[in-house]
Amino acid sequence: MVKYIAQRVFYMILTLFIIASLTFFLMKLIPGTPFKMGEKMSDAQMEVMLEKYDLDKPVPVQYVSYMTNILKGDLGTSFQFGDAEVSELIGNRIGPSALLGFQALLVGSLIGTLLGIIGALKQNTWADYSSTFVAVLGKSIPSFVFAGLLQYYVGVKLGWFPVAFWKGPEYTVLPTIALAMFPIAITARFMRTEMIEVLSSDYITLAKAKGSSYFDIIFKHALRNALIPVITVLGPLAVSLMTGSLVIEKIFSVPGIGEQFVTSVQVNDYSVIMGTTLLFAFLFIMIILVVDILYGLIDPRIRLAGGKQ
Amino acid sequence: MEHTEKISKDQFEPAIIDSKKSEEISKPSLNFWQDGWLRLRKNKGAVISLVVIILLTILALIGPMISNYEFDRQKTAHANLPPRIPVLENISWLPFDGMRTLNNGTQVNVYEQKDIEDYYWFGTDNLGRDQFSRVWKGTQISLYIAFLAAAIDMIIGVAFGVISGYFGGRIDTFMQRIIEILSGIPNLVVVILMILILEPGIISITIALTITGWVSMARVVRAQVLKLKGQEFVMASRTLGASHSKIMFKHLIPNLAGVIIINTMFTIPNAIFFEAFLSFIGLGLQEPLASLGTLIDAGFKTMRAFPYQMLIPAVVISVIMIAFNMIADGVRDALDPKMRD
Repeated sequence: MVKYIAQRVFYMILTLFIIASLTFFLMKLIPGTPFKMGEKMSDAQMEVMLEKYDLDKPVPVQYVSYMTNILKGDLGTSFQFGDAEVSELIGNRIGPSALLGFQALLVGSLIGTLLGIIGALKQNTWADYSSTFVAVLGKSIPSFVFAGLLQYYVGVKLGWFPVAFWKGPEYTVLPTIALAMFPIAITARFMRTEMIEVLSSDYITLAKAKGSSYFDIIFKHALRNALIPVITVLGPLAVSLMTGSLVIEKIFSVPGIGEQFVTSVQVNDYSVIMGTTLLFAFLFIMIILVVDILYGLIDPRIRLAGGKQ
Repeated sequence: MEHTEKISKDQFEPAIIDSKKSEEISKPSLNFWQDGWLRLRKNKGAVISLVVIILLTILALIGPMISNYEFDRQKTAHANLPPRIPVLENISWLPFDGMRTLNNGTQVNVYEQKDIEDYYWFGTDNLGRDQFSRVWKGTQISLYIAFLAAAIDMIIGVAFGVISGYFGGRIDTFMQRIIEILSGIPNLVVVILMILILEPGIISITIALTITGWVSMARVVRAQVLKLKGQEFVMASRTLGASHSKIMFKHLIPNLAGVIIINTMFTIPNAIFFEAFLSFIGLGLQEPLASLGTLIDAGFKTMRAFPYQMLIPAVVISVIMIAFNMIADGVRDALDPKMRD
């Protein structure tokens, strides 16, 4: 186990290093200047600006200083957003993104689990078919399409919830629903399969035979074991939440990391793009690692030791 | 037991046990594909989806041609017209009568107001371009990118997986390290970075999608090759002196066809999603080209005033995504019943 974790952490660091280098060199290849008034500047002004941000130094020197700064937790300064520190800029925006992601994950996995249980208990009835239908919709319809429709019909037409911005709990409702669609779909499908398998196992028959109540059988015996493999979908779910957050924060004007990233991409703000990319990559790799380790710890039937995958 | 009748003995005759009969094959034997097709045919959702996809593909190909207007013809006098279709315009509950609901709730016929005789079946956008030809042109480009990306993913993934699994040893270890690192990078990040350097266009979007897209295919193929290469038919072929490439192409890849198709079917909707996603965050195709993503993005900006500009491409992309996902599920269940979830 220790050897396995050590190996995984080594690969994690290697991957992060490669991603950081890759983003750095790719950013150097991007055409256009990163400055707000780039086209209107004279050559002299441009030189001053380049010197200010150390962009006049040779690329290898920039690379070394960039990498050492990352190790110190310094992601550089933004070109566009009033010289703000990137780490500060991102830090200020983590709150809304994290809240939205957490709410979507919570709502998504609860509703998804419920739909999955219903599907498994009422197999091949209308309840099962409609829960499968919801799952297919959630998996297929792109989150931004769904978000746009929600915003128009529930926000504008019905006027039940605020359409955009971030001023209180009621403002989080629509973006949370939009973001939760994919988690609902994935958990529901997975839960249904697992529940069906668990419900047909011997220990459930035993529980029925000894006269446990229906409720006890479902929630105490079946659900607990069915939940274990669901941990494996946490990885894809986290990725979907990150991808979704980009567009959904843009649609609902949520002041989060995703919205910041989209804006930075549109105005060529290298340092913010690099910083956010690194943050996304780091989160992604951490989640995959934690999921793999958790899985081995929770379910002793799965052996991770020896590094054989 | 009132109706018990006595059946006379002479109605029975002893059956002759014919050992040849019991060995007889009563139904035609089916090969892998026939068997899979039989199973797929039973799956109503998959069959309907297949029909839907074929219809949409035909529409995407001929749609821009059957419309009276070019997809990039601008006519500002005809900007933001609501949909109007001959005949259907007389059915009041259908939204094809050229009526527009204003903010205060009154309905006006924009065509009569502006004195326009033309019929724009899906309306026009803010530059007066025909939405009907734009939507189908966009579908065409979205499908093209998706199929191209899926094909490239398939070629790279299969080649990588077969070589890695077949040769094993140090080659395998090295190739698996590459995959391990690549799969650690979120593909969202790679795709966005690639688009930032390459000018957005059909080819660059396709390339960006394939950079990490082939990894899952390579993994599945390698796992299957590891299982297959120890089997007797491969050993027999090698003993008879077949070259490595012959074993790979003649023996391994045909046996992998099932998993390859299943995996490709899941790649296509994924590629459609990413293309639309890129367009939506402003990294997609440039005007006047259209894809479903750029149309949704453009429609989204004017959604409150002209909802049909967003609604129609949104419905098209949703239908395509649902249909592809259902076909992919159906094909997987049909070709590999063990993988059913």
